[in-house]
Amino acid sequence: MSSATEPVSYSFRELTAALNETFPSVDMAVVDDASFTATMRTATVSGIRMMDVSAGPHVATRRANILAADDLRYFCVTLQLEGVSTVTQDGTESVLGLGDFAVYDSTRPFERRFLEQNRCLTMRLPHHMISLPPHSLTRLTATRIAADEGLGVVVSPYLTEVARNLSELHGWYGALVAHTMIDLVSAALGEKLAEVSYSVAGGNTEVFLAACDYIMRNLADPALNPEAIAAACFVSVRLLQKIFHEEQTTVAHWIRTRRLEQSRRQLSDPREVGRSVREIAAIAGFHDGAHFSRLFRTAFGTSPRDYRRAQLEVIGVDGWA
Amino acid sequence: MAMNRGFDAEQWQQAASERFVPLAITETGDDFEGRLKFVQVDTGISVNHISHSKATVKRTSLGIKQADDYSLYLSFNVGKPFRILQSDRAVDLVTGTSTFYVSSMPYEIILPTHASQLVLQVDRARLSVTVNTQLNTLARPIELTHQGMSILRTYLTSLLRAPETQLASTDRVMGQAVVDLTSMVMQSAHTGHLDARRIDRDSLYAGMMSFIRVNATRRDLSPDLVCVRFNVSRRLMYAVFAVNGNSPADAIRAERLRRAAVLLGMPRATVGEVAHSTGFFDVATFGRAFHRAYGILPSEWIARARLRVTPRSAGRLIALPSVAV
Repeated sequence: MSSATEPVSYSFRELTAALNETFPSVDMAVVDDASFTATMRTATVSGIRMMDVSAGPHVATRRANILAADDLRYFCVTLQLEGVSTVTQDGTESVLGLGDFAVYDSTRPFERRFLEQNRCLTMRLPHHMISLPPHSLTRLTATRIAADEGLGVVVSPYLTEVARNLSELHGWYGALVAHTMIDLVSAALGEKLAEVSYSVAGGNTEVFLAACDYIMRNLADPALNPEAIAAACFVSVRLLQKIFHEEQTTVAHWIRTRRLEQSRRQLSDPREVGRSVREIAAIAGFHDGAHFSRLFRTAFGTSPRDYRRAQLEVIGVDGWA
Repeated sequence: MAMNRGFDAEQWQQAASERFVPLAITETGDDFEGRLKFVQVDTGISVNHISHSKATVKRTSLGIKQADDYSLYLSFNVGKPFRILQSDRAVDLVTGTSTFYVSSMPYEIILPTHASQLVLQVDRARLSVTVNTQLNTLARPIELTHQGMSILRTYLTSLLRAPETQLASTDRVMGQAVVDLTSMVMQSAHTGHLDARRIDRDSLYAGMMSFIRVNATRRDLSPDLVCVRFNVSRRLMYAVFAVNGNSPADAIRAERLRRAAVLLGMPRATVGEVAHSTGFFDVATFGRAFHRAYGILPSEWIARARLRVTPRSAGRLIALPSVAV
């Protein structure tokens, strides 16, 4: 599950086929498909698929009719490495310049326009990896996160460096770089969310982000419940539940999602080989082994033990053992 | 981001000592000038850009006694060459190379001319690599081509440029990213020096003993705390102590009793106070342990020490009983 390819050259038809095999399917259009060429490098690390595509002008559209055909629930994060492009989703359109990045969601139609010779790093990650509820990101889809503002100043160079080292992203090294990348992207999205929501709706997003942070810090605590979170955020339990409801989730569901994601990560982390599955579950706040296994299987389709064996086989634990 | 400047060696020594740990700065010229820009990323984690004129910076054993500290440093050279010495090794850093060193052992940085460095400071307790690994990488050169190094360098540089954020949640994430990337670079640096593993158990023992000595009076100091702090299994810890004919519990008790013996010799000492302040939970246990170690009761020790107190020696320490540690 961790592999990187050498750059490969593609004609228009070949690129369309290659993209649709691995990424959310799109309709591709170009002005002149005879002169169009593209090169692509791809890598897959810890379930995150990344591609670095260099191509001439073209348009990629994901339409409603394609949505029905595949049921992929991914976020795509795209970083502009050369040239200029636009990204459109949920009624927002942004122009991405050098180092800017944006997120869009595979479950809804989107459009990408590449106006000139272009290079982008795009990564596809399952919804559960981002530590913000999918619904809250609808306010952010296709919103430009600038390379020279806020956390963009930190996250953009990091992503650029990832693109530069794409062929080296494998094993435990690749997994660590990828996990850190997801955390940084989540942080930048959280910051942007606070900024965007402040100008629109006012105070609740701040409470929401504070609650999410409190949850992340206290996952191991079996007594983590709406009462404790509400108290830590200085709001009533009722208001807290209302805020989570607005994000189309519930407090309990969100805690469970984060606990599962943390345990999934630790199970695939070679630094944690010394811990038993039970211990990892306990650190994530699951104190009933059977209950944990059941939830894990429902979420990821495999038992924690099998998941770990498969992941560590791919990543390899040499160098940490 | 904050900034400090020092226009002479004395000001600089003060600024640097406040920022990091007590440091001795010598070999400076008359026209000395130092600048320090830093950002506190999270608790125990900071990124610093330091540039100053010719100097020698020393972390001495005396400084270590004055201020116990458990930080890891990564110095990344972004200017003229300089040299770092620690743990019987010396490394010459040119632009683009870096090295690890720690604040719990003496070190020396010799900057023959105006130099500029990016210095990362991380609380070692947060690193996910064993102390074995940490000690093995000290004062060894790490090139920019080293796995993970360019990504860490890029990340640290951008943290220094980043505007301040209002969100507390980002501190945790940014800090954890520093910890993970640093652990990664350290782990791969260690793997490149596996041949040096033989000495590691000695270093580990020395490190644990020093930790016990410094933290002897902490009430929560226990063998478990030691292996947690050093990120090794209990099994390995006991094995390492056994090779040296010792055990973690014995070492902790011996160090506490050694301190107790010193304190009991102070004027106006009482057995209860001393037992309490050296980490014992009750006076009876303390009395028994003390008697077993020194063949004399604490109260008798006080009485004997008082006899020897003269106005001149009042307040000074009496000779310690000899005890194997």
